[in-house]
Amino acid sequence: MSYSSLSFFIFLAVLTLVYYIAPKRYQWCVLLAASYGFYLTGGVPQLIFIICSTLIAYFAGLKMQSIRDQAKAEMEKAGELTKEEKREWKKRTKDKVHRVQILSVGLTLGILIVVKYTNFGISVLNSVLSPVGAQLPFLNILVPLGISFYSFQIMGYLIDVGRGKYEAERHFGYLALFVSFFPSIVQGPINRYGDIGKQFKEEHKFDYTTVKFGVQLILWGLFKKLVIADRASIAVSAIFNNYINYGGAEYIIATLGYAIQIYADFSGGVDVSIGAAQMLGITLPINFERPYFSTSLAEYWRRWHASLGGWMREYVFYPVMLSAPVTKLSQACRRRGWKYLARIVPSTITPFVVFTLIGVWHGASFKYLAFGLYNATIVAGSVALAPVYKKVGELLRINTETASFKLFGMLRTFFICCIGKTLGHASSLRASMHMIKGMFTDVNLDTLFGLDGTLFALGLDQRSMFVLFIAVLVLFTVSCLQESGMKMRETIARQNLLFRWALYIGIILAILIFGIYGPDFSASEFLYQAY
Amino acid sequence: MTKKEFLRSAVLIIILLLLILPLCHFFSYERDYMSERYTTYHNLPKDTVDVVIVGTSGIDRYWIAAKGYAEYGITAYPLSYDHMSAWLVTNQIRDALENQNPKLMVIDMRPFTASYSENIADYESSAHSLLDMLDFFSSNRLDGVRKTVDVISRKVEDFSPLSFYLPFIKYHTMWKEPEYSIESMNREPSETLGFFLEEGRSTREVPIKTTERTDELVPLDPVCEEALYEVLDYLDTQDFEVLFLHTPKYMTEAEYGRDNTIRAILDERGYKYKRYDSEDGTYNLQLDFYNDTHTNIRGAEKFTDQFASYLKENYDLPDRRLDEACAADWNGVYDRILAQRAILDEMEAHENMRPEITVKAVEGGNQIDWTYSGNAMGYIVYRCDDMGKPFTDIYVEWDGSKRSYVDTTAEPGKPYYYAVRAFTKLSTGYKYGRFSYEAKAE
Repeated sequence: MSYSSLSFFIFLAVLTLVYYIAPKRYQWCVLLAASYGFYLTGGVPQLIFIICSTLIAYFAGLKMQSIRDQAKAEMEKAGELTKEEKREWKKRTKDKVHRVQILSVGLTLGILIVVKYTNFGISVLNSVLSPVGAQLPFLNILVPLGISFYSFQIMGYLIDVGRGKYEAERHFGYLALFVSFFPSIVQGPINRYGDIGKQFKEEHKFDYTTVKFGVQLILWGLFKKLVIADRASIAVSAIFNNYINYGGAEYIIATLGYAIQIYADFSGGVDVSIGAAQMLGITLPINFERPYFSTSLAEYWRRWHASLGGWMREYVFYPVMLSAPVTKLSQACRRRGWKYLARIVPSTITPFVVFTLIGVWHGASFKYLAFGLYNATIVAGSVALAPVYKKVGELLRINTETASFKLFGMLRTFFICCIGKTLGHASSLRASMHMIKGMFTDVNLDTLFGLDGTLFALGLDQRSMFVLFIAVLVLFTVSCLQESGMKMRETIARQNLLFRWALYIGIILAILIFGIYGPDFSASEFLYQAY
Repeated sequence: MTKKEFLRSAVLIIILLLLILPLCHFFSYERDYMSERYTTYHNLPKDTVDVVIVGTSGIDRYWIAAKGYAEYGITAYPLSYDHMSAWLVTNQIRDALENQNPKLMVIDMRPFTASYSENIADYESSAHSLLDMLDFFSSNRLDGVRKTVDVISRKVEDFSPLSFYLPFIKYHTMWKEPEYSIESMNREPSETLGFFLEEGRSTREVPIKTTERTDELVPLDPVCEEALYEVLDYLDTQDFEVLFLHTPKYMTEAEYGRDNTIRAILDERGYKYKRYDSEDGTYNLQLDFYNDTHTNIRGAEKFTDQFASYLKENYDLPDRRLDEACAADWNGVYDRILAQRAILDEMEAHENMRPEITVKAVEGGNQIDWTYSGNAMGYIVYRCDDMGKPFTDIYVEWDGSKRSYVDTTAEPGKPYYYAVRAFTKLSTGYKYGRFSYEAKAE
């Protein structure tokens, strides 16, 4: 069931009604039933996968909790212990918990790797084996809906419980709901149990403003997804899918279009998710915080898919940076007197680990690996070269606090992101290289500025392009207002009734008329067919 | 939620519905000759149509209702849709009976000889053609949609039926089509009682193949067989006369065999049928058809004479030319068709003719003069800045008698190329003549 389908909204409306009518202590049951029902639309085997992963998380969490509880009880029972004995006891407990943690995280990750990356592994093996003429057959493996999202949620939960950040959830239902909560199962955000778990246990009374805000966010999300992203994707796909027939100007258009498309698509989808959850009184974390206003790539990754970035920071970045091998390497550099190197080693090595994982998380392909490495190189490079930049800035007397420098930073970051997105979106690594090269060497200015009509031969006629332009302008204006600190929904709520209603009606009609959904009307399809 | 909040929400929802309903109406059907034909029929005064002919393009390309009225006094209307789906014929008949009480219902046999593949395109546009015309909340439409969804689900995998229930889903993207505007909000009737002259079709002459005859009874497609029995069961409950009709065309052996089967079923159920054969001596196989399965205007005139004579001989139909109720809608329509045909003939006769154009610089711009020996409703003047760039239209001269225009937007000293072409209007839209050769203004 797509988040932009009519059936989803009927489902959400009915669920909201039942949810608020149901006795408050059973609201979580309604949500769990709805989430499993939603998941079941993808088929029974998918549900089995998610239940198995939840069982792993549930029992591993309980086991880690019981080890810790037991150790605590035994320590209390043992009475006065020396500092040494206490340390020894803690270490033993930690090791036991660690074993369970590694096993359960390994299992969860293993399932994810097997279902998502087996065929990629086979394709790599096949390319290695091809000189000797051997080929392995690809496997028909079911990839359960949202497995990347819920697996990361489960791993986060297991790591937190292992670290003793919070106690393991003893109620299977609550944990199952955390794993399968339908608004975030398909496209995130990646939730943390510490943030969201307690909300499922609370009673939620119908609150007009909360539900209204949820609906508003859904409408805004649909506008971004259906009016902007799906329309832009027509022209973008026309070029990316047939890149060989186009030149550098079209590649620039496609890359800019894709940057708009992917942002509107992801952030629009997540707005629908967050809005749907908000209608049910559940607050999900913000996932896209106007990333194209970032002045550096590191900032961009804090704003783009923030829940994934946050997850990586918490469970990969810091553990790797503080890990024994990295610390030892840094210390070794320091011992040799390479102070600068000692300082930057942890923060330049870690991005390679993090971004490689982010790249692979996006998909099983070398192009995503290249996408990850590209981002890692830029982030690590900017850390390593920070003193150089500073020196150059001082020499040229550049004031980095001015608006113009910030704008320069935004444009530079946007440019870097666009190149990265081409790496990730082109059909292959070779295709992306061809396109990137073309952008710098083969640009027809008439095409780029829409003077020779090519722009309107990419699947979008002038009317469609005009609608897209206006919609992007609306998105840009709203983003600027948000960036200046304006809270849109609260500001709208303070406006006069007529303005508010005109706005609601306007956006609903815009989605209905200008949205890309359903079987597209095609006059040619209706042309006379000889009977 | 307070009472005030509830009331406000309710009012907002009502306003939204009030706005969305007209939108749904606007974006709910394709504006073409089929919708015009439908609208014309439903605008005719009550009980003024004695014969309704339902079916496919095998009806309206053949029967010129205006000629039937003008020359034989018969009010027989072709309520047909291209590629009409067999399972919707009953709904088509029900719709035909809404405002009229015909003495005779003529049913095209072509829908029942069809065979359906697993391609959604086989079903979608043909089913939409009728369903989107019917009143949104009518039981007839809902029944048609239910049958359509049932048939397509049986044949096509992974099919979403939503656009049949809510046509808006399919048509909301029509705003992109240049011909759709606020002015096209209302359903427009046809000026020619459902018969359309069209460039390239009505006057085209394509030799047709000879029918591959057989005595075999070829089984019908199960969808068609089921639909035929449904129609017959429905007709059993009606008191008007019924005639099944097969208009002349080329038939493959399989089609001929299926037609034999239909006739056998009709015989068994006691229904009359009339099959017109393209090789019965009436039609010139070289000149009277525009493709293997449809007559051009010449063939249509022959068929109209042939079928009107048959109707007069076999049915007791009044001469409606004496009926004042019919005068406003039927009188003069055939003359209009003949006039359109004359224009079309002339345009086609002049198909190779181009306007001759000269350009000279005058004070304030470039003056373009042209000559054209044909009749035209008007002319379009085109310009381009440089050879190799596309010509864009800069002026439309709606007065066909004028032959000159001064381009005041031209920059002095800059070279331009100009071209002109004639246009005229037919019932199905504009027909454009050939471009003149370009003339350069220095």
